[in-house]
Amino acid sequence: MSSHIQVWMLVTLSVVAADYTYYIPQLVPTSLQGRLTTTTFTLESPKCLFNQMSTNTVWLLVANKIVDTTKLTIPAPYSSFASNGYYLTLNATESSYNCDNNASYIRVGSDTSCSTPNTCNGPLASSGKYIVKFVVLDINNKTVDETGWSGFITLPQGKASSVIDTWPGRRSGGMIVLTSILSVLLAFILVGLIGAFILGSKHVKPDTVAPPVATKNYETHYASEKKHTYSEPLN
Amino acid sequence: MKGNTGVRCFQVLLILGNVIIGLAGLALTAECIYFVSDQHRLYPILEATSNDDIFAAAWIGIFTGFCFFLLSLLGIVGIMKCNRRILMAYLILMFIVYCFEVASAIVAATQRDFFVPNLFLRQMLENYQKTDTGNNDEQIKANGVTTTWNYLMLMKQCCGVNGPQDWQDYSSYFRTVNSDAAYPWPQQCCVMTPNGVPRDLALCRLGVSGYLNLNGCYDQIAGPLERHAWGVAWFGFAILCWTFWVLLGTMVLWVRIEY
Repeated sequence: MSSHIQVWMLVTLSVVAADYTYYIPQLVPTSLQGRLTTTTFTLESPKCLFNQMSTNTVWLLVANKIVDTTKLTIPAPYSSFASNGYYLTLNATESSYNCDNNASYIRVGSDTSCSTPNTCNGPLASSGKYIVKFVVLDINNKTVDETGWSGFITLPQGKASSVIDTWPGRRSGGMIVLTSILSVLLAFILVGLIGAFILGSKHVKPDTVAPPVATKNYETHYASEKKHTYSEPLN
Repeated sequence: MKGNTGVRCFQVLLILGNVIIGLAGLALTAECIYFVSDQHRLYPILEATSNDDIFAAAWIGIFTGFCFFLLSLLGIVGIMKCNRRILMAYLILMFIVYCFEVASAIVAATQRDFFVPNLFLRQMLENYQKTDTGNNDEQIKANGVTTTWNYLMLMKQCCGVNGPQDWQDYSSYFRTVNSDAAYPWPQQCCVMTPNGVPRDLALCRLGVSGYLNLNGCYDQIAGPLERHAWGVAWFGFAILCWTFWVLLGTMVLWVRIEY
């Protein structure tokens, strides 16, 4: 009789112990660049959580609002998300969530080909608000256990590239110095060049201009003639 | 005046000045040729931003550098012969070349300021992998941008302008033609094995350090361009400052020369 009681206690204990609601699915640390993308988000894989002896299947429930897990219509494929507001994906046995020390991740929305429509982990269509939890279904697709809900997850949407301002902002000091000094130097050279040509051409004038020489000759001739005319009355 | 030792000294100084101008001119030409030969393969990126004036500055630099060399020879001959005609031609031609070199230096210095990360970011987002530009010329530009970015990201082991998040933070042509789940960033961003395939594609998509290059390519792009622009601008500036004094001296000599 005592053995009967022990068996019953064991059964009740195992049912109570398999309460996973304290576990809340978490996003991976922010150091991972692919934590949140436009159509995916990445969760930490639960470690040492599920019963390693069980053959029940663990599903990831992705929903856009809190849903009653006892009234899930199964299968709830990815394609029914728009109508149901939730879908189930990533089915795996409880024992496959093993207990090793390696970091492992679950990337929700990573399956672009969706070769298995009922369990497909397809890209998320909108930035939406998503909440997730792991549910454990028995062989009759009845919910036997579940974890807590995660917080709401919003996916980032890319800003338009046209909002990027390419204006360089303030001018660098070097550029201002260079431009102003060069402008001043160029102005000095221009002034110097004009000045040199004006001064230089003055130097040239007496040597190159020929006609005044002829006038001089004429003037002396004229003067001597005048002298001559003046000399007459004197004599 | 020719026999005067003071003038002789002045002539020797000017000839020395011209020798330096000639050598510096050749060096400027060489530097600019190296720049326009585009060893870092960055020209397509600049061309697509229609901000390639820095290459124009280098082309002008090739021309003016060689002109400085030739004119310095002319100047040396003119100074030695004390020939007013040769020196007048020298002064006028030198002034023209001087104007061009001033333009080259100012353009190079100005364009240097434009190389901000956002310039390359926007251009990368709008042109990378673009195929339906509708215009042959634009298509060639877009192809150039794609090829250059693939080359940069693979060879320089970098991703985007600031990092892989560039491909996530903004909508881009790349985003519209590729599914986000399979290509959160181009595959060229992944750390490759020696065989040229990603070390682990899943971890690369996840963005795990060691499987994805987390650093941006901005330094690899702007670094060489800014160095070259700096060289063209400030070496040109130094030559111009030197030439200024030589030209002033030549003007004084020209005014003093008697026939």
